[in-house]
Amino acid sequence: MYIYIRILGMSTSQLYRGSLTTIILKLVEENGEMYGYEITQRVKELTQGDLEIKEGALYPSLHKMEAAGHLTVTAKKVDNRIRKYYDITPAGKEETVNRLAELDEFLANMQRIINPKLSFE
Amino acid sequence: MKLNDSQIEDLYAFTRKHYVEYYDLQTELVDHLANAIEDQWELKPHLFFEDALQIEFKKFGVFGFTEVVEQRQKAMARKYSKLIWKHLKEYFKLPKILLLMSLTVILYVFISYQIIGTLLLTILITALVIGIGVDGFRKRRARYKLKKKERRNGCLKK
Repeated sequence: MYIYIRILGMSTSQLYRGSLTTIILKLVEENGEMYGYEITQRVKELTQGDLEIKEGALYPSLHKMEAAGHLTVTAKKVDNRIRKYYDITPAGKEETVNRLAELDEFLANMQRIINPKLSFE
Repeated sequence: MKLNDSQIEDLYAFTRKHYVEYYDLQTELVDHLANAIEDQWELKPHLFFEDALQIEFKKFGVFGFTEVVEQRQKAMARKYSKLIWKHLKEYFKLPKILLLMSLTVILYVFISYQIIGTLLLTILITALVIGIGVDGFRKRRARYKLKKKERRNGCLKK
């Protein structure tokens, strides 16, 4: 529902559902100011089209993070329209570190379960 | 190819037609749709504006912009209640706690005198009731006006 990905025709969206916030925070932290459409395109580009963030999930997520004080918004006039840019706040940086650590731990645990190293120690 | 001013206006009208009342949200969605349409034109330069818009709108799912609007309302409500809470908490910290305490004491002293107390309480309760009534009336009128405006806009569109 939130992010969908198709590998071999099989939807594995559930795995990505909880990671949307982490993905956005990490991208904005790395790239500095970003706008909504740019984020969707960047994710598509990085994953070579495997991962597509749904618009209906992206903006709610951005707004939630803005309300929580993890992102700030500035509006700028670009061409003939106004664009809203999101940037990370110090609190957002802290949140990114925590979320990435959590993700690392999750990956390591999954690795241990799926691919246990057998030893005689 | 870039979108022209009248197409941007069309996009604003499109978001309004799909029940996005808030200007900041309209602006954000207009920019998103505009970027997406321009990207489509890179690949298919002959695609009509309306068709490109429909393709992009479909990506928002069956409920269109409703989910985005609802979540935005929730996020704003959370932000505002946080602000109100912050201000409220100030009254329980120095220096504002002195004001709160002295007002409480003054009120208590007044109420202790039966005649003045009864009078004061009557005034306070009446003011409170009137205040709530006026507030409710204003909100209802604002909502009614908005609905009327939407209906009129809707008629013009058709």
